[in-house]
Amino acid sequence: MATALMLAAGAALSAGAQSGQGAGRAAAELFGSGWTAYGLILLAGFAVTEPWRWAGVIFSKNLSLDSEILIWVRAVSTALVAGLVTRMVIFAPGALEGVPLWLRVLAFAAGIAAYYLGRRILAVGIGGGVLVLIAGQLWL
Amino acid sequence: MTVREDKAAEEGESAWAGEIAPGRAMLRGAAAVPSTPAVVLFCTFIGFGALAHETGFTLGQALFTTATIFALPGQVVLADQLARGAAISTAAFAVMLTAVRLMPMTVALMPEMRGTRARRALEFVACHFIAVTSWIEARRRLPFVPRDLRLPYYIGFGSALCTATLVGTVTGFALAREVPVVIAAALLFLTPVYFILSLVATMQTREDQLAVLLGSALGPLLFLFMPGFDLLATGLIGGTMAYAVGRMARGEGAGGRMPWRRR
Repeated sequence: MATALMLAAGAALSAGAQSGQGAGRAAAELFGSGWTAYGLILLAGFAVTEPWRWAGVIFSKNLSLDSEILIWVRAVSTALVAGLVTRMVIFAPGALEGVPLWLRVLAFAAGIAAYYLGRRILAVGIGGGVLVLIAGQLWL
Repeated sequence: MTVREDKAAEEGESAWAGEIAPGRAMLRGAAAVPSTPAVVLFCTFIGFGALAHETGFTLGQALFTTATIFALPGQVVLADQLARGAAISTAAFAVMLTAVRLMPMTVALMPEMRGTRARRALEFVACHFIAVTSWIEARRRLPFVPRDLRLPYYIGFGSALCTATLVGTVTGFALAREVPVVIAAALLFLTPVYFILSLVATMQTREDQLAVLLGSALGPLLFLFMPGFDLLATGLIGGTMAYAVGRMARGEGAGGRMPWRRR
């Protein structure tokens, strides 16, 4: 529960620094619909993802899960995804940008609170957050 | 998961008597997919489909991304970075950082799938389906499957789950165009809520906790100061700080682990 409150506080703090920037539409220009787009996805997506799975198969006989490097890697990727999460809430993409910032932050905090109050069931947390977001928009 | 569902899984997988062909094991794996985690995953891929639509992907590109990466954080980072005009190398590096975690997950799961015979080729097929949800589910279900049938079972399970995420992607992509803006916003909201909950659900160590807190605070701030490089910087700065503090705590004999955590 304390973690939930701290998270909500963190999101609220960062929210103080909001600017009006939204998701760009650069992808449409960058991508087009040609085969180069698929090449880019392979290059910046598949080629940097799948080898880690292969490495896992290869190393699965002799790698300690507690090694320091893996603890660091886990921390870095956790922080990266956590940063992406709060940024997606504060500098929201597309249609979500039209929802007021306070409502996005409130619904986000509500999702975390619902998860902890609802016996840590994932569906309860997600449902709670989404319901608050929809109800808030309808009420406005 | 609830206790009741755990029991159901146990009873469902306990009927493995007699000779069972690998093909049958694959089908059973596929049949195991409809479950609460799979429904949640399906919904979050609806979110990805909507996000892909909003960031300018074509439907084919969105499906290609889901099929080849099959790891939601990496997919969202890729879409996000390209939409914000980051360089391909920066985007690739950020995606790579989210994918590194797949290695220790694979390392932990593969020994459970090894039967009496070495089947390296099949192992490389099976590992494509390793991602957070399938990993958690596999750890829960595989112990009830006979050792020699686990690899085909997991391949069946993984490919059915992957199919579900592809259907979710199409659904989200189509819905983003059709539904009222209130619902479109809710679809895009699924991703951050699902991510933060799976992060807090899997927090086990002080490093994990600190990484979530520091990352959440740094993400939006660094976006203002170094757009394009912000995700990398958030991961490297926040993660390294969390690691350093956690290591100091471990060094002091505090243990680092949180004994009061359930599970």
